[in-house]
Amino acid sequence: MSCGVPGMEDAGCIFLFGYNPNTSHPIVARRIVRAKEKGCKIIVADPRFIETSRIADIYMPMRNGSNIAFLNSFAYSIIEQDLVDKEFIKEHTNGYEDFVKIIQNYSPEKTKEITGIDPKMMREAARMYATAEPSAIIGWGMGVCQQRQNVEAVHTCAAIACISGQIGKPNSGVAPVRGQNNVQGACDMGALPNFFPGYQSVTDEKNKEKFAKAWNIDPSQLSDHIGYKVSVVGPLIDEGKIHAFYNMGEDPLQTEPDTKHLAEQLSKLDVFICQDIFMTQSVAIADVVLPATSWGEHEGTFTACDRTFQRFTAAVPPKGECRHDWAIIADLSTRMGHPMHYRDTKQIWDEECRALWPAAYGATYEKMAGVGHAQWPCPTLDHPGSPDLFLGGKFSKPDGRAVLMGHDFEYPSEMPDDDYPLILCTVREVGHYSCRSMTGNCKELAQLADEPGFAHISPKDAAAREIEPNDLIWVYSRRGKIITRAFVDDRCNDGAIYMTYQWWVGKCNDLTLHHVDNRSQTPEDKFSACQVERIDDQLWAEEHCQEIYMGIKERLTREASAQDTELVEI
Amino acid sequence: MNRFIAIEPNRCVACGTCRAECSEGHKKAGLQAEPRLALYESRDVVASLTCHHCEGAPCFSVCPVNAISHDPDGCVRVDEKRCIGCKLCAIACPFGAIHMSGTPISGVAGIQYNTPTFPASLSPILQWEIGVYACAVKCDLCAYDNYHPHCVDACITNALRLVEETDGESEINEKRVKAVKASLIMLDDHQDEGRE
Repeated sequence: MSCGVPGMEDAGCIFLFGYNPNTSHPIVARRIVRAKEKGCKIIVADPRFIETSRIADIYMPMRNGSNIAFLNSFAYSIIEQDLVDKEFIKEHTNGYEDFVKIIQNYSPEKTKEITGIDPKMMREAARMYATAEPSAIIGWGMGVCQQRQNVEAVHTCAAIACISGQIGKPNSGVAPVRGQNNVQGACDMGALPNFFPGYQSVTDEKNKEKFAKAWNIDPSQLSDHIGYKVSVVGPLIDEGKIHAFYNMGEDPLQTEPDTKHLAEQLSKLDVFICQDIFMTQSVAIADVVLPATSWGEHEGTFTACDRTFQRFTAAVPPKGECRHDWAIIADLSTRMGHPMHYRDTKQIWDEECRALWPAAYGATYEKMAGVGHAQWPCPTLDHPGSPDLFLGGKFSKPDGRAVLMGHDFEYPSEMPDDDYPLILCTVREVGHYSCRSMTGNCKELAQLADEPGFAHISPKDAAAREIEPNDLIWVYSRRGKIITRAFVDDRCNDGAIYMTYQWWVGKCNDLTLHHVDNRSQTPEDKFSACQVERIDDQLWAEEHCQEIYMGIKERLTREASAQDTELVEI
Repeated sequence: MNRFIAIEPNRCVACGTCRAECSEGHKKAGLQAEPRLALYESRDVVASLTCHHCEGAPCFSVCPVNAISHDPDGCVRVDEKRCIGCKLCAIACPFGAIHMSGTPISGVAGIQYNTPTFPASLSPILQWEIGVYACAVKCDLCAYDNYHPHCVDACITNALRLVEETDGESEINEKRVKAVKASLIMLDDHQDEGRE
């Protein structure tokens, strides 16, 4: 994010595009509620009438999968109504003419069939955003990132902020509020195939020399090319390019798209290692299981979505044989021939992060003590941290200028048809998180929401299928068929259903399409085709659900009980 | 005196924390774990709803075994041990604030996998689970904790508040001042009339 979360309260306009703060980040939702009460204008563009739509000044009921057409039309409306910040464009950007060449084909009138947005509303929203004082923020989430044209949408959002001059000042700019908890931290620390910690490219010779020197190895020992991302592990196994997979704290058989196919692919691995805290569906098929400590059993740092480093400390000592992730990695590394030993996380933080990433040097454990924090860039020990980036319009490109990039619209990969007439979109719910290895094992949370989860469906689509609230239904696609419960929801748009990806029984990822773009390799989770059917015998359906759920639980328990048997000398 | 929990719907973000806190608080006090707030989600309004502790509470009037009491300080409470689960109060309540719930046969701390005997789409008032003695469960303003409602503290947007005798007055006053100020606009238009 180019601004800080607390500062969102003080913006003049918050434009949410493909982001539902209530279910994803209730703390951010709190800020948006406060912002509204302080007089901030709220614009929401979303196919569903999400909670923030109720308090929005303008709610734009855009069609699923129309992102680029929508954003281009939004940009068009800013340019056409002469609301661009000419000074900012001239001083701080490159590529405006080429950008306009693409955008000029996307008038609100031309795009309204694709976006579903009335041209008058498009122009009004563009005006509200571009003229907002003192600043405006575009907030987005997986509605942008998990679509076919995800990188293109990010480019266009950034361009919109730049041409309106709504970036480069406090509480403004672009706010990708991030999907997973601590995805920001993982990226910051270089858990990416193309970056060292601090977004330093792995193919840059100077960077390689710096890290090789710090790690006491020869630069030639470092890989000379960019690695693979988790979303393409499946296909690469099929191609014979991946033979071993060391998987830490992730349940791909729950959270990746087209999970049934992925299960076949993972079974082809020579070695599948899983490091996790609970037995999950993925851990159950692993060859080696390394028990790790959970959030309550270890200490360290994480980064919030707005670049804020914070410390957390352990509440209880680790149970049984569980070890800290870093201790396991260090042990493995030593056994593989590169000795690695650290006293504690502070040493790792100081030697591997602060010493090697200039922007984090000032982020000391002292600053983060208690409920303290350090917001990077924090380059010196006395630096107070940086809530806002790009102040004064200084961007991180070599010439300090932002590059404006425009793109043409493409339809999503799998459009609905007669066989599969509904759009399947995956979303989040607030009471459970990701694969539910943690929240599913919490009785309090399980009491409030449990298997098989819900599919949110509009009253019209439900009525056409004689579906009543809480009825159990089949949902199926070209890739699979699952059972879940219907939540008849007048906030849903007709023609689309929304499922959360948490449920093991109501597993929407058995249905989703595995299509990744060639740049970010993020899957197109938000758009695939499906059909829904009511189950006639509801009591049979309830029993069937329980059977599947019990079956999964029993299988996981059986796998986990292997740890209770005595080790045998071979 | 009348006290009840009210919500500012535009602040509600449907996070459900109020329900989780309610459940835990009551469970720790040995009462039914069913949350006493219902989260209503729709296009027009999203809000957590609970008992209004009505002056002329229909639930209180209708209970055949006097399991519902109306305390002098305004709180309407169900004695969960005395309740026979007849559901008349649940039917009589104009706000749907009474939930039927009971301790499962596995007990308070146990885990069970039950064979379903009815679909979940059946009305909660008609549901009946074998071996489970369901009683009426409703907001008791956390009487077990000195009438300190846990949901109000838990709400992350401060959407919930405990409305008490003193609150009502200042809020009504504020509304009166607003109304008078609105009328002053008409006065401004005409203030020069009838003057030289």
